[in-house]
Amino acid sequence: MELVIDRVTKQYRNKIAVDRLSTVLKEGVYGLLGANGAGKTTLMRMICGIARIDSGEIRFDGEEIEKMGGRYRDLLGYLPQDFGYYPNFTAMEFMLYIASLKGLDRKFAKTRSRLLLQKVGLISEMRHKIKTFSGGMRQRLGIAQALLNDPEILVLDEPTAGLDPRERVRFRNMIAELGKDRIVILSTHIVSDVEEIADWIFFMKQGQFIAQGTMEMLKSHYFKVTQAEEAEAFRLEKLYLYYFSEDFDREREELLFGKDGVHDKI
Amino acid sequence: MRQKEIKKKLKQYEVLSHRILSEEKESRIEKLLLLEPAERTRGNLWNFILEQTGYLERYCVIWQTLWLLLFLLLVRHGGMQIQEMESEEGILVLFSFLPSLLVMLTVEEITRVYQKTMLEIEYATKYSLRNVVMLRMAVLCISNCLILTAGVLGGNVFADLNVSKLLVYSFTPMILMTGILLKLMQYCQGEVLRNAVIGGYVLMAALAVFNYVKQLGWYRPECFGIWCIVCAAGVVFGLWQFVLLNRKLANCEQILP
Repeated sequence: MELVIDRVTKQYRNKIAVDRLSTVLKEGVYGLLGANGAGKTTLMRMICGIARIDSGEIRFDGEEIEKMGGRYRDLLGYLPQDFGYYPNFTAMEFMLYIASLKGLDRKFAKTRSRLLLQKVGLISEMRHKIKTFSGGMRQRLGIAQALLNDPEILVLDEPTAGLDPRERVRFRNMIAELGKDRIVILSTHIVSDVEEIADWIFFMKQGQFIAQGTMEMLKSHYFKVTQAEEAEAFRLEKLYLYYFSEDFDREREELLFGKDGVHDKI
Repeated sequence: MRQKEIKKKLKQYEVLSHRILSEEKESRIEKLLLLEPAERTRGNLWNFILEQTGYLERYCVIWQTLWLLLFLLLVRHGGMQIQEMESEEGILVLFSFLPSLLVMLTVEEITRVYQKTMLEIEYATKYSLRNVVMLRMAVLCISNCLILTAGVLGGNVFADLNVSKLLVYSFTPMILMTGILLKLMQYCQGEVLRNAVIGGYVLMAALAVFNYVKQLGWYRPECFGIWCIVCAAGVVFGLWQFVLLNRKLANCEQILP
């Protein structure tokens, strides 16, 4: 299983939202960190085939996802940042409706919906209308619908927003388990969500990956560059603050363009 | 007293313990979730069509049945008067804007699943929003046409009607209403769409009543030819809007905020 993002670019009027991004994703959990406006949601939309790619390609197992169409979407599970819902549907009705859009057999859809609602702790509310749900409950319903078709690629945009700490831990455990045999892409502002479970972390800014690697790789780069003392209790938040600081911007510019402004590396 | 309290507490714990899943059961559920093979769980396109039709008709069949009964009642009650089509314009006005009411009542189920908030999820599924909306519109158009035809032909049992004229007078506003609905769907969704459709229907009904009150004579025999032309133009307009809506929904970026 391999998802190749090959120099994809997306532009909205005067703004380049995603700028020639390239990477290869295999089974595992990928954390996508970045400030608002970094291009995370745009990238996720392109991976889900919702936003058109202006240039470049995204390929799944060698085939372009645009050409795959419904076959690709059949492998996808997506939870958008602003999870919408039909207020007058009950939780079960909503799950069955999404299951029909995902082309699932009705009998299987009923069983799977029940199991997933059980898993996210909404089984006792399955006959209640979604408009009566709290924000956290809706978010959990969103996670459940993303898992309906047992997707090979799971794209989650701010999935833990609105969840309480206990639910977040439960969610992390679920994602860590799921990531063993599928591609999970997780975008969040809550750094601790990614720290515990991500196999690979991307830092994104102004449509580009400014840094990427495992937690260990990013830590050792940080200690090497900042000459800071290594600490056992080192947290990802420190890396986050570093990579989005002006110091790093300066260092990156020097790396790309040299001290005299000439492009002599990368 | 203490004994009673203890017994009460024990009973409460017993009830609570049944709600908590044992670790073993929870891990079995987890395994089931993670290991269930996806291949044997897929339906085909025909299943999808049947399901969507089921969702739609489950809601619409009530309104369609009520509407058909009302229509037949009207024909039976006013049947004698409408045999002379030239003289009973009031009845014809009613037959004109009743079918549009059918469109307005049944459009609720379209607007229910056509809302901005759900667009992102629905475009990332195997059968996208486009499939759902176009299929539901097609099913709705066909079923409403069948209901109306059944109404007119059924009404013929109660009164000796000029069926072809009645079909034109009743289909024309419904076709125009449907064309307007398809046009509106290209620009708005959800509550806004529903309100716009209601507004469109009220306007059509007001025009029909205005004609009756002001004795404009739109139902005179000499105007029948114009009705036929308008009906044909309405069909072309409606089909074209169907194609345009399909094209617009193919590209979700045109719809997404």
